[in-house]
Amino acid sequence: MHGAAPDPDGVAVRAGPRLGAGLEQADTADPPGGLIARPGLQSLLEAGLGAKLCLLDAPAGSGKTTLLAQWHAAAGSDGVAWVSLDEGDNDPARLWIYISEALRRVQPGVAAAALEALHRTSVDYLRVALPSLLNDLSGISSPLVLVLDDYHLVTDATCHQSVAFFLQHLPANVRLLLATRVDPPLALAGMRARGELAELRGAELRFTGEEADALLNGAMGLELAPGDVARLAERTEGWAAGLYLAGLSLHAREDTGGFIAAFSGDHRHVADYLTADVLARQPASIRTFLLRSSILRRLSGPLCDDVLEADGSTELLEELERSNLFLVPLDDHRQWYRYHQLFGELLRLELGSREPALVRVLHGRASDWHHRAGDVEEAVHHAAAAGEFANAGGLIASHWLAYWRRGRRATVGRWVAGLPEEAVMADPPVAFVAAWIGGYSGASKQQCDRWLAVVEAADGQGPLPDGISSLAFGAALTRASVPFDDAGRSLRAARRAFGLAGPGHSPFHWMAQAALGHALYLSGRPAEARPPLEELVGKVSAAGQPYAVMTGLAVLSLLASDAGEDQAAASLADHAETIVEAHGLSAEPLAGIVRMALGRVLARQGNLTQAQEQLEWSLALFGIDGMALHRAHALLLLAAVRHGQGDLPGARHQLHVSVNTIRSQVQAIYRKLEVMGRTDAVTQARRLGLVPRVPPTVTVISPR
Amino acid sequence: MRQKRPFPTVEPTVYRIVVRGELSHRYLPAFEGMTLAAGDGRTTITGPVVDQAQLHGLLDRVGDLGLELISVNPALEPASTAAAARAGR
Repeated sequence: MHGAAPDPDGVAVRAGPRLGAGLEQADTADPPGGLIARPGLQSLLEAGLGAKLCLLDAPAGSGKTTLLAQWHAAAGSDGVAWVSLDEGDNDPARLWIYISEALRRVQPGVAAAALEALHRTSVDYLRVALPSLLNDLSGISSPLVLVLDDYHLVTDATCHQSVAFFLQHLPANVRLLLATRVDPPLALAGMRARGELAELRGAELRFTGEEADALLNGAMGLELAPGDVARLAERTEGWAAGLYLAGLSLHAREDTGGFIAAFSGDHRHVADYLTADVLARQPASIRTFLLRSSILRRLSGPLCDDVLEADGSTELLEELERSNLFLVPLDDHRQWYRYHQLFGELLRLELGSREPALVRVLHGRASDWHHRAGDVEEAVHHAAAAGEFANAGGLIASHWLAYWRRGRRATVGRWVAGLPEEAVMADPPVAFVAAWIGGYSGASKQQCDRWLAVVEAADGQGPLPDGISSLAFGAALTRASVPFDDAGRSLRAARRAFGLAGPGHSPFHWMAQAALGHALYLSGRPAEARPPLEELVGKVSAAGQPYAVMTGLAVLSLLASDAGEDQAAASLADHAETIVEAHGLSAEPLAGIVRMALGRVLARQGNLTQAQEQLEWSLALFGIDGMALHRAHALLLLAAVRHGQGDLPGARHQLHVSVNTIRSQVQAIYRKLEVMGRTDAVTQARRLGLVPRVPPTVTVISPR
Repeated sequence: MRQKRPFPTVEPTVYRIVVRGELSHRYLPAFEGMTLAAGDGRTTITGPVVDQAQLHGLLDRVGDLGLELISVNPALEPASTAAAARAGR
């Protein structure tokens, strides 16, 4: 919170420009050595771009990226925005920052507002960032293609959902081109039926006999007999990676016919057979470099020098690129490269079998280098891969809060998930991060309890690396603000957090005070809830403490509605909403309480349609286990609204859902209402105005 | 966030994953804890799998390495027998 943690966004943007390979070839007509033009495929691709979504969907090593790069070179870089994805892009904030940056590079006017939104604490992609981006895109007249390469590396459901939304609302002048190894979950069948989808799949990407000849005898200059070319095409089944490896293996070989005959008669896997052979034919210095640098997701000269404890890596990288040995440049300046994915895998496999002990050492050096360079994400990744879990944990504990505050929850979640569970449990500050992030990301109550037990059992030490005052405080604040289904536990934790927060004026003190007021309200103690919340919103500026002030205002609004003070309730809820918008908190689970307050106000004003909208929005935000109690509360309010609309089946359904489907919440509802059973609950709910006078058909819903 | 197994599996299931092409032992580290048996132009990757997440991870490795998947089947023998057989080898 205070420390000198680098800006996560700064790190992300510095993490290597992500232009596609081939950009720099835009002004040359001939593809570089080792690659051949595939005019047939390029025209198929060009035709495919008539559809909204063009899918280049084929296995590893089929030549997808190469084809794209050549199409890109031929098409020119105008109107093509290119993003090469990696595993780190399973964070919607990071994914859309990269996409927006790429779009802005080709259309300087677009994406400014979206980027501003994406750099805030957390943003609602579907309501704020993407509509703004789509709006900008619809304002440009020229055609634009957005290329997402290696889309199979995206596995996060929120990311897919956001891409599906983007696709659904894509302006007519924009096309999306995805290169992937697996079918993306983007409702392809419907698009196919509507003619909105063009597909180039494995079968189309196979090399024909002529293409194999053009590659081996043309681009690679091998002078093979036609029969030998045919044998190679047959043995590799036109698999681009196989033909290419075969070409490398045949380079400067005397008895090509004998080699091809032996290869054709062998049943070993093509890549298995050829990789070892290709490596064996390289000079020792290049072989060692290829193998040892394969652990890096991105390569630069200085990084390789450090990790390999060698000199001259910059020149070596340029030489490898010239000889087309597995390397893909990531920028125009020859600073960053990556290995072609499949070859990177094969090299790592070979390294693991030749020098297994070295793998961790190399990862350890890579982690140190990235740490010094200020790239926390790569430093954490390599520390975990090196088995240096304490180092990885230390980095996570120091930097997670800066990432969290920038809406990068998924990134922190991935860091924690990259550690073995034993390592998390052995490191209380990391267990705290796991519980906090997990609680807000849908982890189960049991799992969070396991992490928090470790945190609570640890000795009360001083401030944590992230500035949180103590582990005990962190644990109590987590339990207070992620209540799961237990209002009583949340209240006890809030009291504990309040006691541990230290004297006033520290940010943590106010966070604890907000949690306490909220928990008192949820426990049905309105009289006690008001004073701490009123003090909070009176003394604290929203700029410094947006979460605390937002929560305080929203709960005070709900309390005012309960007391029939409708005007006060409305102005408090409006104020809370302006804080949500000003600080980009609209996708935060806790912002659901603001939606509830607004829904309640609108309902009391008789504006039931808008009330329903707000309450449904709050339900969406509360859709994780940690917010089950809030979800139950929102469902009760929604039932009241549905009933008011005369929608008895709808009201019945909401109550049914709140009682039956989310059964674990029922006890919490009863506790909150301070009642013993369902009949009591309904009576009490009515008395509190949570549920208006409901007819017997609703009250007698059977739980089964 | 990593999904914890909702239903702890008492006994892992042995799976057989068959891919095209004969793989050398160089590929063993890619499929940790599994055995590879190559012959007849294909390779059978066999071993205990504790849950669906692990199975999907193995299938991802198959794809990452550019291997062609032929079949995936649970074997009938319990994992403990398979482990004992391996240990005795």
